[in-house]
Amino acid sequence: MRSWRLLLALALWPAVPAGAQLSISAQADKTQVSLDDQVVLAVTITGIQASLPDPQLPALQNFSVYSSGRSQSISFVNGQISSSVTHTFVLVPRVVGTAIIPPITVSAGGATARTEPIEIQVVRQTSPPVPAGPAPAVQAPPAQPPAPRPAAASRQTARPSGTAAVPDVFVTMELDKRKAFVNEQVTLSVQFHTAVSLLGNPQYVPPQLEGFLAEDLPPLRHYNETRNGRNYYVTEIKTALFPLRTGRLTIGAATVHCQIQQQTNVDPFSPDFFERFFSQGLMTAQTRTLSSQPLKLEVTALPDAGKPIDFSGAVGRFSLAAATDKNRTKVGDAVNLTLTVQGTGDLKAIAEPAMPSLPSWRVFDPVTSVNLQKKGDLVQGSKIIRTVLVPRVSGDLTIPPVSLSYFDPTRNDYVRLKTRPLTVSVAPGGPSAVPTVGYIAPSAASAQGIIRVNEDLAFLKVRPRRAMFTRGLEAIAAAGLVHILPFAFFLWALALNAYRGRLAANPQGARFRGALKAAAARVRQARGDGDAQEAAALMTEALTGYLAGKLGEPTAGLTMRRAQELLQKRQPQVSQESIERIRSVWEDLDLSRFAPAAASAQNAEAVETLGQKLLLLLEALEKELKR
Amino acid sequence: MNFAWLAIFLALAPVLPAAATPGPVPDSEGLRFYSQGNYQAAVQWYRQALHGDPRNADLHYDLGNALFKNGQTGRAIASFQRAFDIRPRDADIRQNLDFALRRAGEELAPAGVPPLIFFAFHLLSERELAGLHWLACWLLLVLAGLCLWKESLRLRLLSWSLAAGLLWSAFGVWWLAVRSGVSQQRGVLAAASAEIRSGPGENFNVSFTAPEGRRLQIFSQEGDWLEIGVLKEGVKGWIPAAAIEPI
Repeated sequence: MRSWRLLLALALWPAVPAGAQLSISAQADKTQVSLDDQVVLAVTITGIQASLPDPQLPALQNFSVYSSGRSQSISFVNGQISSSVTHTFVLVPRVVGTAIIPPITVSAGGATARTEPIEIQVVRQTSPPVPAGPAPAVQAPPAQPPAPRPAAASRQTARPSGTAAVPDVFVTMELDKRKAFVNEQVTLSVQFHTAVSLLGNPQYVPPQLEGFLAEDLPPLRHYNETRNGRNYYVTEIKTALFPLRTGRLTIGAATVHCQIQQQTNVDPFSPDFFERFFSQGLMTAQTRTLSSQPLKLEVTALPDAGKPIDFSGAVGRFSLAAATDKNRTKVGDAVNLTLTVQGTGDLKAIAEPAMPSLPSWRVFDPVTSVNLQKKGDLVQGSKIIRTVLVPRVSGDLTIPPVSLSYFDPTRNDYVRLKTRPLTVSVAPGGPSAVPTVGYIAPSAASAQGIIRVNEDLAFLKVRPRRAMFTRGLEAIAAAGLVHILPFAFFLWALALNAYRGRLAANPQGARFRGALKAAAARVRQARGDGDAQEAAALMTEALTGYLAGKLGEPTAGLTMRRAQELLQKRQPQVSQESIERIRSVWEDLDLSRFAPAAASAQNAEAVETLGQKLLLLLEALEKELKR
Repeated sequence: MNFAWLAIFLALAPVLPAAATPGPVPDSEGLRFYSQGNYQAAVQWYRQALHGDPRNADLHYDLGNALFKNGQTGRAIASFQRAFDIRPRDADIRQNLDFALRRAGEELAPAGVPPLIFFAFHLLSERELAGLHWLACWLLLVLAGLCLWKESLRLRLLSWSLAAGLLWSAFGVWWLAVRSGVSQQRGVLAAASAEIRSGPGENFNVSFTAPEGRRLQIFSQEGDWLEIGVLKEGVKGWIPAAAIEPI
């Protein structure tokens, strides 16, 4: 249930009013500070959203303000997301007196929160910071040890104020290197040298930094330095610069506005007594504006050779770690995956490492927090990317390695970091959990459609198909000699058709050849007829038809005598016996045709006998007749 | 007309028993081995079953599954390919063949060929196309014979005869096209990473290597060596015959 509340909260992130439950608080580490000291102001913003806005600092006329870092924490408690960011500022007082830090505001989603004003008492510094006048023979120990200073690669001195040889105040500016890669940290140091007492703290105007991302590197450093035999009190301000583009970039002049004490210009030998009397020990304030010389920095592009495919512009030295908040869970319960990028460099500019494909998990948008620290003149800290993962299926699920590539300027090479794979043992969830196998049904919270979780072989054929269609066609294909049958039928039909064609082309010949068949058919018909006279008539037609066909004469009007004449004339090979048999059968048939009806019973037998005789006659004639 | 039906029946009579032969072989034993994860035993069982029914697509498919799970991707692809050749419309067979081929860097539908065209071409197997070709041929011959035999039927059967002629031509061309592909000697690389040499022997240089499961065409044989061509890349070489699972 907890996990579903969390999921609901994650799903509704964008829907929560950004200003809901937004609060801000500010706390100074001291309420009384001397001019040579500084106040650390911590501004904390809390809210129920992952990304909190930055505070809006009001104008602080009495302080110089430097950003010292930020730290962020995000927590998921009982499905509730809460986030807290603490911005740390270093305030350096400028003038003595009561200074009020006005309300600091933060706005999000139409809502505004503000802090209570904070009152700070600024008092004079306990001891003069600099000895005035020429440097002592023995250098006095500085009030605080000077910060380690790298060998300056580029240094520009400001226009001196005071005498040309030994100016009272001046400003210098230097870089720790002359050449840098894009996104590589370059440290800019601005030093304000003073050999005279100042009235109040000077006002620092940072240089124009076009083409750079800048991060303050507080605190201010104070130390003594001897130049040209003169002792100076030095205030140093450092800034981390990250060049954004290649080429020769210009850092504008740094400017300091200050007021120095100057004795009044009175002639001590003036005859005017009152002038001499009132001028003794009288000092005047003089306002000076000091500027350094601009600096140039050569910025080169990162090498293309060996650039990893997942490189996204990170420059510095980093480490990468991955961890889950639990290694046992249930389907549907959330697991927090935390990726921690730690090291030195512009952490804000590091893109979130690409998450590997996690089809077995539901992956929510990552929440990123950046913790910046500025130690040893280096911008460092950590970037924490927290991603909520909800397992879709049960089993031992592995989160593959996550990789991050960066360019290490000290090695002049790319480095690819990779986390170790993480395994989470996931038990099946309850009835309301996401399905454990197969495809994930779209949930009400996110109707995403079908999501393929794993790809695998389709299972065995549990119920094999009979495949009648396939097997039938295969059997036809393998029929072998059966293929001959359709061909044989076709060839027979073709031959029949040809035969018919030939018959059609020669009707006399067809009649000659078909005469016996037609006659035999009539005889069969006659023998099946019950009426003897009718049968005799049919048989007579059979005989006359046969002879007409063989002789090429019309059937009608062919008499026995005419038939005999034509046979002797056209078919001389026909024997006389056959001609006699024709005559005999013809006469018998005529006798049967015209016999009285009373004698029909006896006649029927005679007709049957005649039928046999006729057939024998026709067969004999068929052998003798030639075309 | 009765004679015509009798002729058709007589023509089909010899093939009807073959068509009615039950296709599937009950594979409960193989299924049991497979479900228990005993893939080696399942492979043996399916191989034995295929001896009795070598054109059973289901058995080839099941054998392919068992081989794949047993780690023999190349031989699995050969089995899936045989199943695909027999029954190319089966969605499971297509899926598993494509799945296994992608492990070997190939895809079922070759690159450059739209899948719709590929699957339309492989809608019917070579034997099915042969059967349809012969069926259309028979129909055409019988109809033409009837037209010749019975003049009275000619007008009525003319359009049917033309349709049968068109079907016969279409199935014939399709059959020949598919047959030209499957009638070639084909195989699948069954060795984990095979070295293909420039000649039939170990003394010849290795020309290239190919991953297990890559489909090949077999051109010739010289002793224990086969001359093969890799279909996808279009390269040729020689490889020991033992490294090839013929399809």
